[in-house]
Amino acid sequence: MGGIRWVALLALAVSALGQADDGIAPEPPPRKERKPGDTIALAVILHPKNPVTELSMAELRSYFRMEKQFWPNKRRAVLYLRASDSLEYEILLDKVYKMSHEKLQKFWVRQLFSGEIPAKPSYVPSADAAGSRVHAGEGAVSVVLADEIPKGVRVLKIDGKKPTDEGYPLKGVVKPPEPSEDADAS
Amino acid sequence: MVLRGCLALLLFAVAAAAEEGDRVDDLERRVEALEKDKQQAQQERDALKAEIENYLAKEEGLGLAIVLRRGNVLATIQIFGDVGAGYRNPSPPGKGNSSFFLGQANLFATAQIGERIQVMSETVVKTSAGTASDSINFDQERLWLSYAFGDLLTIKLGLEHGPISRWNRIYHHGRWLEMSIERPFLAQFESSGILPLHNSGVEFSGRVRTDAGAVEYIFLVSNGRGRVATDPQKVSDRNDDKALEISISFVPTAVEGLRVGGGFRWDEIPPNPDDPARTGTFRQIIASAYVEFRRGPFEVIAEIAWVEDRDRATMTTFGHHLAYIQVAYHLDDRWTPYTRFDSRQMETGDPYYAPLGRDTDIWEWLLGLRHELADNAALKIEIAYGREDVANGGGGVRERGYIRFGVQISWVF
Repeated sequence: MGGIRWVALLALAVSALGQADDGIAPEPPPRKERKPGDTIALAVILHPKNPVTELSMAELRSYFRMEKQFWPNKRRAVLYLRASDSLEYEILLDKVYKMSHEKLQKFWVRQLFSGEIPAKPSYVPSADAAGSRVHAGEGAVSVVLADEIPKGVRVLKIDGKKPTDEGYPLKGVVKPPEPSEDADAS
Repeated sequence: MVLRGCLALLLFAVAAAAEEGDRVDDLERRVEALEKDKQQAQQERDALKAEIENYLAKEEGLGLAIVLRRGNVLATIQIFGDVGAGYRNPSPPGKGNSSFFLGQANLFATAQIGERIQVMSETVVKTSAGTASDSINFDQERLWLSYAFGDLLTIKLGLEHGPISRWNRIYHHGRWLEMSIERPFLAQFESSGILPLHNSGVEFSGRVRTDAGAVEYIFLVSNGRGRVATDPQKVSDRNDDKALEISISFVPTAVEGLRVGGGFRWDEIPPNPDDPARTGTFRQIIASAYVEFRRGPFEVIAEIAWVEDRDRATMTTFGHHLAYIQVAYHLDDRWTPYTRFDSRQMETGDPYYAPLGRDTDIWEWLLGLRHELADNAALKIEIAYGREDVANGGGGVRERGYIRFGVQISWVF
C-alpha cells in the first residue's frame, strides 16, 4: 500500500515539476467564435463612480476624439482603445471615427503636435485588460463587445439605448476574413 | 525466544512504518509547497504576459512616437524632418534655377503632468533663411506650460503659434503633417511672410458644446511684433502695448467634418530708429476667416486674412489681403493628389514690409501628388505656375510669370 502511495506521490510531484518547467502559461479562455455576418454590439464602459450614465453619439465622438477631455466630475477622461486588428477597433473606426486606421494615427499625431491633447490614447489587448484599466481609473473609458463586459464597470447608454436595444448605434457586422497572400498565390 | 523475536520484529515493523509515515508526510508537504510555487510562478507569468501584451498593444498604437512614463509624467517625443529638391524659372535672386535643399529637423516634446498640466517644447534646426552661407541655427518655436481647469478653460503661458491662421495652428513646423511642400503665403512665418505667427504671452482657451455644435475660443495677450516684421519678440517687448488676439471656431453637428472660424488681432508696433521711414508707431489690425472640411476622401482648407497698417507718424494707411484654397482628394491611404490657389495682394510702399521686399503682389496655382512611403514618411511632388511683381530698376515694379517644380520627402518618428 505504502509503495502505491509512494508511486502516486512521486508521479504527482513529477507532474507538478514538469508543468512548472514547461514555460507555457495556460491560455486564456478562447473568445466566443464569431461568424461572418454576425451582428455585434460595442459597449462603452466607465468606472462605476463616473456620474455619466448616458451620452449622445456626438458627445461620445467628442470624448473618443479627445476634443472633450473632462467628465462632469472634473476628472480627465483617459481613453483606452483596442488593438487595431480587433472587432472593437473596427466598429470604432466605422461608427465613431469614420476614418481609416492610417488616418486616425495621423489625426493623433496632429492633435498631439498642436497641443490639443497631452498624450495619445493607450491601447489595451483584451476585454479583461480594458475592464481592469477602467476599474483602476475614475476617468478611464474603453470599449468591449457587449457579451464580454467585465465585472466592476458601468456600461453607458448611447442615444438613450443599451447595447442590447434595437437601434443601438454602436453595432457592427463581422466581416469575412480577408484572403491571405498565400491563398492568393495558390 | 520466538516471542521475543516476534516482538522485536513487530517493533521494527512499527518503527519502519512510522518512519515511512513521516517520509510520506514530508513528501506531501513538499508536493504542497511545489504546487504553491507552481501557482505563484503561473500568476507571475500571467502578469508578465499581460504586461507584455499591454506594452505591445500600446506600442502598436503609438508607432510614430517615443513615449515615456514615470510616475504621473507621461512624455512623448517626436522628431520631424524633411529634405528635397526644387527648380524655379526665373531663378530666385542670387541663386541658381535648381537646388537640393535641407528642410528642418524639428525636435518636439510634450508631457502631461498629472491630470491638468501640460508642457511642450518645439525646437527647429534649420538653415538660416536669406543668408548666402549655409549656416545652421536653432530656433525655439514653441515653449509653454498649460493648466486645464476643464474643457471650458485652459490657461497657457509661454511661446505659442497664434490662432490668426488656422494652418499655422494645426501644422506648426511639422512638414510631414502639411499636405504640400511649401506653406501658403498667408501662413508663411515671419522670416518670409506677412502675418505674425509666433506669440510670447498668455493664452486662454476653451470649448463649449451646444446642441448645434461645438464652439471653441482662444484669447491671447502677447508681446506683439517688433520693430521689423521678422522680429516676433519671443523673449522681450520693446513697448508696453500688448497685442490682443481672439479666435472663435464653430464645429457644427449638422455637417460632419466641417469647421469654420475667424480671428481678430490688434497690435501697436514700436517705431524703428534705424529706419527713417518708421519714426512713428504702427497700428496693425488683422482679421481672418477660415473654412476647413475633412470628410471621407476630401480634405479642404481655405483661409483669408486682411491686414491694415496705420502709420501714426504720417497718418497713412495700407491695406493688404492674403488668401488660399487647398483641395486634396485621398484616392486611398497612400495616394493623394492636391491643388491650391494662393494669393498675396499687397499695397505698395508699406514701410513695415517694403524694406523686406514683401510689399509686392504674387499669386500661384499648384498641382501636387503626395505618396505615403510608409505610415510615417511621405513623398510630395509639385508643379506650380505663378505671377509675381518684381522691381524693374526704375523704382517701379513689373509683373512676371514663373514656374517651379519641387520634390520633398518628409517624415516623423
